[in-house]
Amino acid sequence: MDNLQLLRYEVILHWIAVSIYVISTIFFAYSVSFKKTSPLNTGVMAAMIGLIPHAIAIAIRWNVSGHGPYMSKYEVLTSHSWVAIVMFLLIVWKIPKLRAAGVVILPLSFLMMTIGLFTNPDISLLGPTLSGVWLVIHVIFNKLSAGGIIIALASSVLYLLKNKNEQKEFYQKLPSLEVLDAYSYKFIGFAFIFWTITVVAGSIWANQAWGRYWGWDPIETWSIITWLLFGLYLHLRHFFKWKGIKAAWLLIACFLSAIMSLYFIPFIIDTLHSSYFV
Amino acid sequence: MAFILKINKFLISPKTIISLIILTLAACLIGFLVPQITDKSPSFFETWQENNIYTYRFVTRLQLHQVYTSYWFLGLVCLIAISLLSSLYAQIKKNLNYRLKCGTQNTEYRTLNTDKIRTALHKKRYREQGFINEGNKLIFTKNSISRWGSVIFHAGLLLVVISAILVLCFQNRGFVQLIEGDTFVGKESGFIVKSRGALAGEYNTVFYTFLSKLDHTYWETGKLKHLESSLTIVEDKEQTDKKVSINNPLFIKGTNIYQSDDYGYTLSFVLKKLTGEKVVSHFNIDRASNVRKHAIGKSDYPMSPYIVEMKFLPDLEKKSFYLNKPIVYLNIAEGLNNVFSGLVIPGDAVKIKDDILHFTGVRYWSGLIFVKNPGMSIAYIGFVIVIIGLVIMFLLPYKEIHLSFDPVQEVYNITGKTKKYEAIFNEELDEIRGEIEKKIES
Repeated sequence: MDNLQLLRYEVILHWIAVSIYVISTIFFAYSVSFKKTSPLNTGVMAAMIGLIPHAIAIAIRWNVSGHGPYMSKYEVLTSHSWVAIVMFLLIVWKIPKLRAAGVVILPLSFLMMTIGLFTNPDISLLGPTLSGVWLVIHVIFNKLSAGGIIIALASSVLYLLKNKNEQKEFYQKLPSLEVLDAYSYKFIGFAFIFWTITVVAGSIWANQAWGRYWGWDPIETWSIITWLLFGLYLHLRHFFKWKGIKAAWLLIACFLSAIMSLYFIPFIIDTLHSSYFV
Repeated sequence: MAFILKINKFLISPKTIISLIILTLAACLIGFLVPQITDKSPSFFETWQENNIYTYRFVTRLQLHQVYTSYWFLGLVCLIAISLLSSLYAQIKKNLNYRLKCGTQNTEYRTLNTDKIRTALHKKRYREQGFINEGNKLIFTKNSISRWGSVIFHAGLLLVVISAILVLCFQNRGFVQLIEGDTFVGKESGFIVKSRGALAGEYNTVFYTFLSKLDHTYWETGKLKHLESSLTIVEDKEQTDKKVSINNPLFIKGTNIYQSDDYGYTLSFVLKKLTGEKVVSHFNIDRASNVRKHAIGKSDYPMSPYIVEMKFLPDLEKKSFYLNKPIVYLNIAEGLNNVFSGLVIPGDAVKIKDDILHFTGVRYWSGLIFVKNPGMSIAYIGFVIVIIGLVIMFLLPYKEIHLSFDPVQEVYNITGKTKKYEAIFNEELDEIRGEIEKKIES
């Protein structure tokens, strides 16, 4: 089978995965909107099924391009959504009460994939700077931090929803408000570690490639802004015992800042990173 | 002394720490929003000054157009470093003074059998510390190292900040266009672009660098795939052959040599004047962005009235970036008058008024960056420590379980405390209670 044919299959598989994630989203949305718990399991199941064509599609592209999924908007968005869903399923496996978080994670994921599918799907070739172990670490932890932030956002959204509808039966089946708040804190802790490793690995890689580990490129600036916002969140929780609604809204601000550095800045502003996201 | 203590108290107060984070955030946002001198050309700022003098004055006086090299930003970084240092001292002191004052079990309860509970907690990786509260409360702890997580993280951060300050003060950096077959003698005056830290002295490498070959390969699309310079390092009559490529720098005698992705062609000419005087000149021109485009260069010809404009193709036949069949279109002007236009290949000689211009050959030049950075190893150590600290802080939260016995009701009480994720820990505690109850019943 030639590469062109394989890439055709890859796009088809991506669309199949998107469709399944849409179905999963419908179940989650139905469950949260109509306060029913049974569709949550179906939503989780659908997400698990969707991962299969999604993973195959990524693997096909990896095989054809000869590099990991990090060289175009298309590859970045699809791999980020795959990692986010895998992380969500792992968390649901450990903490089944957090299934309802799928109402945030699944739509965000299929949205990212769909945006990716409408961008240029051409395979980008690796420039000479794109090699080495630090690039691999940078890319892997970038994806993990994106997943961690999305899951932390989902916990905060669930917190805000439960805070408004605490008396309703559906929300009583979710973890308590205190536990949801603690999960947001825990997940942002994970994301903070991953984000730090991303920044550190990126710095070491930049030093190897360009002879400087920090150059205040717009992406670098936004990644440090996001890191500082995380730091602010964690310090406010630690020193001023910020909890609940205030902490949830600050976490949403952290999420928006992370979105800026992960997607908007490299895609809309001409930076050193732009050349990698064709 | 009282004043120093007051300052110290101020520096580690939560409000100061939060303010410093917010100020750094604001500085970064300014650096992102206001055009910076490192990103824009001087003409951009000239136009800005012409169009909006008041905003320009405001921005330049506050150094908002050079945030990261401004005095106030350096001050902020120093303040952060001092605050980190004070905070570290306070945390270390607190941690060293922290002791669980455990003793022996109260004789009244000695007959009680806590073995099953102990085994259950040991299985969950809780370590028995001993008895407190006059010997009637047994303490178990988990992740005791967590108390040091914050210290480790902030120590790492301090090292990174110190390294940043060292870079700002002592880093030397220079860019050189080295032609194949030529030697860079390592003098600062030889750099075509250089930057020096605020307190750094003159930068001279202690070795010579000779470029023997530049290798470059491309993808089918013409995109650069690999770029590598073969160098000979000459030091004290000793010669060593080395290779430097993008992403694989060289480290020699305190200097890092990086392969830049800038490279191109050196066109060499000899101008033979009517008087018999010969003027040799080499023009370095950048490689074209696209294989179908020609490389462009324009320069004054030294010791002559001529301005030379070049449009160069390295490979007329195969349209590649390699020097297979080079050709240059020369446009030579004297003042406003054009004195020569035409295609020239290596070996050709053309007549320009009364002079003869001989196109002697073409070679590659390679962009090499020489960096002396005393702070880099400190930054690397800092990075590792930061990550270790974070992992300890967020993945290994400190947990304490207190097991006490109520002799009146003859029941065990299990309570606990943690410094992070309290609500999740309470759920874990409920599980532990359930498991222990089951064990006791069995």
